[in-house]
Amino acid sequence: MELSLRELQGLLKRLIIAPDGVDAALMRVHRDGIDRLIVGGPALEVRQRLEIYANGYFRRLLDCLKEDYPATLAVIGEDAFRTLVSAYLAEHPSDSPSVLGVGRLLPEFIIRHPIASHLPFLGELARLERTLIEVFHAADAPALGAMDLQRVPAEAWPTLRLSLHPAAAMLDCEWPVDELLEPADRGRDCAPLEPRAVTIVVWRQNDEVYRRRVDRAERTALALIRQTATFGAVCEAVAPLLGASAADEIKSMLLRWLHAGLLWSGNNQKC
Amino acid sequence: MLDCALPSLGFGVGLRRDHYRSVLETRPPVGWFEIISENFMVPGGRPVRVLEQVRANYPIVMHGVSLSIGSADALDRTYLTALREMARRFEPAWISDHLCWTGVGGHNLHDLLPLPYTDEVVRYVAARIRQVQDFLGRPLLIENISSYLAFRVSEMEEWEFLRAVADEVDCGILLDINNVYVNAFNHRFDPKRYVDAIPPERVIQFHLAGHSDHGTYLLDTHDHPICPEVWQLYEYAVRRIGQRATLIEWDDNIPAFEVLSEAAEQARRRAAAALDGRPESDHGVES
Ligand SMILES: [Fe+2]
Repeated sequence: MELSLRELQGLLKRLIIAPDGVDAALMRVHRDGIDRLIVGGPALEVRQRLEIYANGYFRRLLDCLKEDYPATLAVIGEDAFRTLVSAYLAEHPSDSPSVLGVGRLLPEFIIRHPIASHLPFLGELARLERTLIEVFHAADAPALGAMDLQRVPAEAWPTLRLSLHPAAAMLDCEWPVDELLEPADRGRDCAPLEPRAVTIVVWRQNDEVYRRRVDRAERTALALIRQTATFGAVCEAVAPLLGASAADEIKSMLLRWLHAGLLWSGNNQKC
Repeated sequence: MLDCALPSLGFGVGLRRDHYRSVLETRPPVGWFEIISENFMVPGGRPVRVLEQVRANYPIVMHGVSLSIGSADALDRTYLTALREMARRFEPAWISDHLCWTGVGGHNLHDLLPLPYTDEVVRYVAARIRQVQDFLGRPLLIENISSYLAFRVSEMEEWEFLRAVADEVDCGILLDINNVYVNAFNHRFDPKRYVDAIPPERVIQFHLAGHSDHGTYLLDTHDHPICPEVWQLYEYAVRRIGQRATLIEWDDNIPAFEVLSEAAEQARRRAAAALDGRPESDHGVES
């Protein structure tokens, strides 16, 4: 039996990544065919040789996803995580040159997975963990500084367009999943996690990733900035949410962003 | 061709995340660092900045794990472009990857899988290595892998295949001594025969690593100290091939940086002793 290189590699791939294991996968191919392709013995049968690769494949990617999603793992436990990852890899075999990309689609997978029916917050928790990784690796760019803004003439402020830093993200969650990120909090029973809408901003400064919740006004402002609205439009939208002290509040919000490096200096159209 | 064009780097270790801080703070006296190229194919952030600082003080080599040079799939242009950009930015002494396939049908198995050792595959892989070298504008070293299965269709031994590919392309070899040892056990051959068959002028670099013993087979895990038998085979290779840039690989259960740098020092001592014609050293594993 002569197979082309593509056929041979395709067959090996199917045997190695089969979610139900090498034995079951071998039942689906011509058993004699495999023995005519791969040298067995003396110490190991062909099936055992394939299992070395299959076990290595699954363990490697499982370890990688455990590292990427430690809180998701802690909430559901080793066994359930293993089952989840097996189902995930069956649907999304890696197409990424780096293991960093393997878990990219896990949050969306969890949201559609039956596990979400009894742990409805799990997808959001995974999405937050993925965001932390993406912000950690996001592009470097100079942050907007107070000096940059001091140079903006007063008359240009209403039409000024601020930009979010590329290493900043904002997540709207229906559950306060950030409470589950700290190892000390994970041991608790998850049942008390009540649905409560929160918005979490994740950003990077000096190579460290930070996160904090933002209130409705700040969320509105950052969402508009993300859409490249003018500063005038941002003020107009948030002022009603802040009441009498709106001007001061907006100013301290802006200082907070500058201090955290949440804004990008590269794309600010000064007028 | 290549050995005179490429610098001799001495003794180095793999740059791993666990050691970023200690490498930057203490600037340890190792000759060079090898990086896993794919770990730095990210838009930005700390790893890239650490690499910039490391590169300012040491030579580096970019070692890849996803080129999949033996895959039936077309070469991944996006990946190659990222590799070329990295090389322009970090100016490695050279770039290396494995003589294997890592995926097919657009999927990456994140593992190094063996090829059938046939003339047809030699020609196929050699043509692709040439394409990669042309695209990168730099030499590519090919490394022998550990394997746990072999194909009936193979027409030659693994070392003949490695040599044939390197000869066909006229490229350098990264000879992984641990992989030779692991395969010698797994496929029942004499590891010295393998070393003897590799033309010394093709070998630009050695890898040394630890493996784990599963009784009926050895698994290339890079999570153990280098075993006495692999040290002996290294000394044999240095006598047979000569001193070459040597790198300690450690990817799992990563110990303190000092354990790695001590292994690199040990490689230096053992290589020197081997070349002096002194009797093979005590073979005790230090560390
Ligand atoms: Fe290696």
